[in-house]
Amino acid sequence: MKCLKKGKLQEFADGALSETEGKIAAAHLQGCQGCQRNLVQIKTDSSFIREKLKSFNPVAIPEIPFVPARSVGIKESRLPVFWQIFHTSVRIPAAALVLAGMVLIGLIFGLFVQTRRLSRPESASSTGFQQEALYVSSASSFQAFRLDIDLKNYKPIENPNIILLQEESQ
Amino acid sequence: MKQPEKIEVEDPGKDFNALYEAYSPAIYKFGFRILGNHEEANDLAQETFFRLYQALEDGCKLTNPRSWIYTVAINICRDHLRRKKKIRQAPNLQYEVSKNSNREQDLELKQDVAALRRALEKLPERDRVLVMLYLDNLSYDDMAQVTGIKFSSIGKTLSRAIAKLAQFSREGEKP
Repeated sequence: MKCLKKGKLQEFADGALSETEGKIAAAHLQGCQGCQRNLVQIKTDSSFIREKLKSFNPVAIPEIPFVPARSVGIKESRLPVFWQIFHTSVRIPAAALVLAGMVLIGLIFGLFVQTRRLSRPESASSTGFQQEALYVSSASSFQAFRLDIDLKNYKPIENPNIILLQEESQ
Repeated sequence: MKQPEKIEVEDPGKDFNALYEAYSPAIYKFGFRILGNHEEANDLAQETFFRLYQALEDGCKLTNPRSWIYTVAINICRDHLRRKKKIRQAPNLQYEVSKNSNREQDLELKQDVAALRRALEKLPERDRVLVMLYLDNLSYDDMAQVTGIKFSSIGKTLSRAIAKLAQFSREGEKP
């Protein structure tokens, strides 16, 4: 059998090998001085480091009282109650669904408004002109005209399109 | 950064108390070795168990609470050290000197700890964490879960790290 690698020897020293592996390793170690030396070295280093690193430990472990989040109000500030009904795994898909619904409603409303605007005839107020009726009455006749008025200045536009609506002789 | 896996617990409230009693001293000790003072170690323990409390309240199911707690503690330590830019600095250790009234012994211990700290800093962060977990007697399985190292590589990595640390430490002790 081949000699044991240092990783295997470390596992052997820590008792981390399976029962079968442990038996094989122990059998090899009985007859191999090189592996025995390596095992002693590993054990020496491990206990040396364990001993040395003890000085990194605290002098004493104090009592660590745990204050539950709820009693200091952290729980309340974490999430609104509405979100707490969702489990973490459904929270994101639910939020995405609500967002997609809102976008869809917005699109439909926008389309509706646009369609209404396109189908409406151009109003007089949107062009800045309004058609007004003009009545001209004399002793012998009565005439009714329709002409365009400039709304801004409230006066007939230049070269108005005057349409004779009615003419009566008296 | 390795994320802690979800673990299974039957009764969150009851199990939290049991987990807290079982692991809070170990996490405090672990934090003290890495961060080097009482306040930060205490904060680490509080933060770790606060996250555990939240996880249990949110319905997380834990299968291996010990490795979950250590993974969270290591992540918090990393964040803390990164934030404070102390990752390369040796913290002021409040090691046991009060019992040594002898000044020579006191000085010797200080030098010893300083040499060991320098030796630790020469190791890669992953190996350093592994050695710390080894001191806490975590199983190879738990060490693999916490550090993300393959189970089959734990023995190899550990033996190499310990050998290097022992060598650096012995070299550092020489006058």
